[in-house]
Amino acid sequence: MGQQVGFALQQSVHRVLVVLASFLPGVVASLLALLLFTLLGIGLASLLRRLFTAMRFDERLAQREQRDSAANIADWSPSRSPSLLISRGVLWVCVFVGIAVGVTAFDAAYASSSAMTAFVLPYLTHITGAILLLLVGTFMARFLERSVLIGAVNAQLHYARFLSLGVKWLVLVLTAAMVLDHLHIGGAVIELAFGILFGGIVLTLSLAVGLGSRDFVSRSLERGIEKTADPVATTVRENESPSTVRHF
Amino acid sequence: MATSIGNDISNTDPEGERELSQAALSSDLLVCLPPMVRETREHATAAVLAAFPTASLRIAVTELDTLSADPTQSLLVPYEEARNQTGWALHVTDYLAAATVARKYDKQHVLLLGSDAPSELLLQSLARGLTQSHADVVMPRLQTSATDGLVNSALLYPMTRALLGQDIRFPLPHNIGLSRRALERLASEAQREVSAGRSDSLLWPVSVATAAGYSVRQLDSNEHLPVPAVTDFNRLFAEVIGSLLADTEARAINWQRSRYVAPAHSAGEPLATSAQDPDADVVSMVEGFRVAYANLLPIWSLVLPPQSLLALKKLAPVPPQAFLFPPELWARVVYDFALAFHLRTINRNHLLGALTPLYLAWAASHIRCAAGDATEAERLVHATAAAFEAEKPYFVSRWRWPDRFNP
Repeated sequence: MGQQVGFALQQSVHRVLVVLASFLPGVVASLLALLLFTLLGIGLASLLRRLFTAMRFDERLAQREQRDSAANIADWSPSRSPSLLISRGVLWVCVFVGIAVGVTAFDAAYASSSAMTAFVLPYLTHITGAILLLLVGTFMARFLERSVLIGAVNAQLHYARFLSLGVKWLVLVLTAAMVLDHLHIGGAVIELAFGILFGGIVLTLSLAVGLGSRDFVSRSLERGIEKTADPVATTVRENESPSTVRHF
Repeated sequence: MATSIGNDISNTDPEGERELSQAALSSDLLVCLPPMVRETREHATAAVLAAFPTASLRIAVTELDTLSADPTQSLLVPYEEARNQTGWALHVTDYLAAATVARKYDKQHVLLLGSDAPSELLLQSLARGLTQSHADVVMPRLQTSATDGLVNSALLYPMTRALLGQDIRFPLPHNIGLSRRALERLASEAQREVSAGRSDSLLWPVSVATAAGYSVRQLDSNEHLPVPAVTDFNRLFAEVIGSLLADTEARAINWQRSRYVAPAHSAGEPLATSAQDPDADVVSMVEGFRVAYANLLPIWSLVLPPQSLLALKKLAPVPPQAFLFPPELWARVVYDFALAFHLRTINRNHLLGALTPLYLAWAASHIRCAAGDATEAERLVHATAAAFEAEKPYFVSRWRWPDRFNP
């Protein structure tokens, strides 16, 4: 019995070591590829920056560009410097090439284990997609949060921050659900949790806005009814407290 | 620098008018009318003919009825439909359309009108500015009360005076007189705007003319500020101020060089405060500023330096009875927003939205200090403009070294 247990343990350790032995070269190769291409990217970016500085690239481009061109490259550049944009672009292209080479090296190291390759490589593309989804979702959440916040503040709504936070979390929850679904994590639990959370936030916002804007809505409804029913009444109401301020 | 022709057109004598008619007769004048219904157009045409009884005159109208038996029909010329839809300030398409007609009929002086009912005196006055003063751009100085045209008083006039060195009280034209060369220049700028897909933007004839070295004149008028057809304040504010800041960005080379010497009357004087209870508008605007301070501080902190934020913090709890937005602070706030617009620190629509409550705070302070007195309001506007001039070195420094110069 003891011998059998020991044998089983030896076999399992042996199998793990074999797997590690075939796994590690792939990992090391992919990390090495990433490191090398990143270093290459840094070197190329630095070289390009020096070259552009020597050529006075930014100044020349600024002179050539129409000042009111719709797609002015400087507008899209970090610190309004096209040379910085190009050098950073080169760096990131190198990093992405390094990742691709690393994944291919990993794949080559795992050629013998088809099951692992069939699972890991497609999953890497899913991870990339999920990261992109997360980035876009976070950006959208931030943009919409600001839009709602500024719009609500200019409408003098006291619960502007609450409203904007609600919108932000709606988008973030939606993004998180999409990311997890993309990664095939959670399954039906995620769908259920998302439905509950999303519905909960919408209901909370509806109640808050509905209760908070009760007076505002009733006033605007009354005004609409009066306008259609009796134009004289509207004139009288406006005359009661006329606004003398003209901004334009 | 612009000069104001100090002739109040309501006081012109008959001799002067006869002289003017002669001048208009000898000049080559084109009057461009805005789109309007037939009856209104007939009144406007009659006003133009009464102002310039000359056969060499041409009146451009948008919908020319060729079958009409009107004896004035021979003076009317067709005008492109590309006129502004807001029915308020002149847009880029207005200049383009006017330039096309001026070229076709070879007219040297153009009166480009945005208002439906131009008075005879206004027309004569604009023509006088072009023909007798030989100005390239002539703009009327409109009549306002203490609470009229606040955006103009808060932003358009001070920025124009401080940055361009032009003392033009209403730099966004509703009616304007242009020489042929000024119109051609404006039309080429307008064409550039249209090509860039910004056909709805406003053009700033003062900045274009100043950059080109043309003479700009302002004349006294008894016309009142026209009411915009668009009633959505936030939309109109974003449109007008967005265009102003875009123009500021486009002409950075020009305004960094120009220098304005403030006249004696506009030197910064201490603001008088009124002991009266503020009206409902002021209370509402101050309340709006407080709501904004409680919510927009994270966005403001991306745009404004700590000094300005501290000043706004001190201002937030002040009650409407004592609310006072210092002109120096307002000037710095506007300049910082102009810089953020240029650097695209945040989305430009968000930026303009975040500026709105600050403008309302300035407006509340202005209305409260003016207390309904138009003369006092004018003094306050000049004080604001003087503050913009005083803070111009700050703006220039921040514009040139946005990362290094951040007090």
